[in-house]
Amino acid sequence: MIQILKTFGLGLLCTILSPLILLVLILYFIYTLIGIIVMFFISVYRYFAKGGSVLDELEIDKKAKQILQAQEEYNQKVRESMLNGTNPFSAPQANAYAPNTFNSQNSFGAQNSYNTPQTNQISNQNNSEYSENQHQNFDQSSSNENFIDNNSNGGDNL
Amino acid sequence: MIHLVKLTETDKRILITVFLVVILVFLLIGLVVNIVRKIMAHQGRAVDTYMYDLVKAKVITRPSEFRRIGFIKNFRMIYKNIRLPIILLAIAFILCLVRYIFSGNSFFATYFSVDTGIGSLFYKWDWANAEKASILGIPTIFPSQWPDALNTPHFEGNFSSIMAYISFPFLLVGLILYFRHLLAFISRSIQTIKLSRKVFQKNLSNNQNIQ
Repeated sequence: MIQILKTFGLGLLCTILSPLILLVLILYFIYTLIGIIVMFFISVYRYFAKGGSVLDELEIDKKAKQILQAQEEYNQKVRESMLNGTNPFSAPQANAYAPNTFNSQNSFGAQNSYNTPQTNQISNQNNSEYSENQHQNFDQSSSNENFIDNNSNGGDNL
Repeated sequence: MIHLVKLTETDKRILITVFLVVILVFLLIGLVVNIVRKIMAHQGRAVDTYMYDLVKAKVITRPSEFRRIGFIKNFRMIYKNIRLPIILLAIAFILCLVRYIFSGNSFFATYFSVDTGIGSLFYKWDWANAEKASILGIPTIFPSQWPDALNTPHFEGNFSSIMAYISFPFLLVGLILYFRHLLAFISRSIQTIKLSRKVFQKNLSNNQNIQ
């Protein structure tokens, strides 16, 4: 019953406000029509001047896609290193804070986690593979950081 | 007991009918508005789709930026979607222009007329001369019985009517589609403003762990 009354009230309200609603619709109609005509001329200009379309992907979309792709690749590599049985949790941190200090001290003066007794038990072969993975991960993470830093000012470059 | 107003049986019937008709009309309008609101809410979800990656990648960090990019994408979307209705309306416009050039009948004056427009395809009733109902001797605007038909659907063979028959479907479908995309545009504009406020909002009030 309350729902019916609400619907009735809404109908009454919309009937009273119908001139205003109609006015808004007409204004939007004119606004979109002008916008579409302007976009048409822009698209014609772009087609002949630059050879592109007005509906081409925006620069900001390309940047977002690149960032997300880089993040996804990075996450994939971290997952792979975890599956390989290497130390999964210290790997990204080591990458982030101690890029050039494998088997040495990091920038905080602490020993690198690869020299812990647990990781020293890993065979030499696995160690070398792991180091390669870490180098790759670091490259990826640093490129991610660069992406995020470069694009943190948003769509100003649009 | 003193009766100031004495209603006859006919008056009571008319009052009940008018009352029911008014309620039904408002209910119907309310239902239509509810449906339109649901459609608009559904159409507004497109904003979530096309802004998701930008927010996730943090290339957009401010509400004003969100609104700006949302506005650009909204216009691009309507430009992409509106092409079909614009083509249909353009065809209707060309047909009306041809009709005007060859018959001299203007659009607004004769397009809906019975003799030279699409009016011949529809019923036309004589509402103006229909007998009006009266309550307590006062005539109302409501007819007491169904009026006589001035026109029953039939085809007119003249050039003006034929051009009107051909152009009318283009005009009608074009306008309906345009209206639909216009509603979608308005929905997306509203949703963009709503999301620009909500997406970057930080709320501490529900967090119990903060000391």
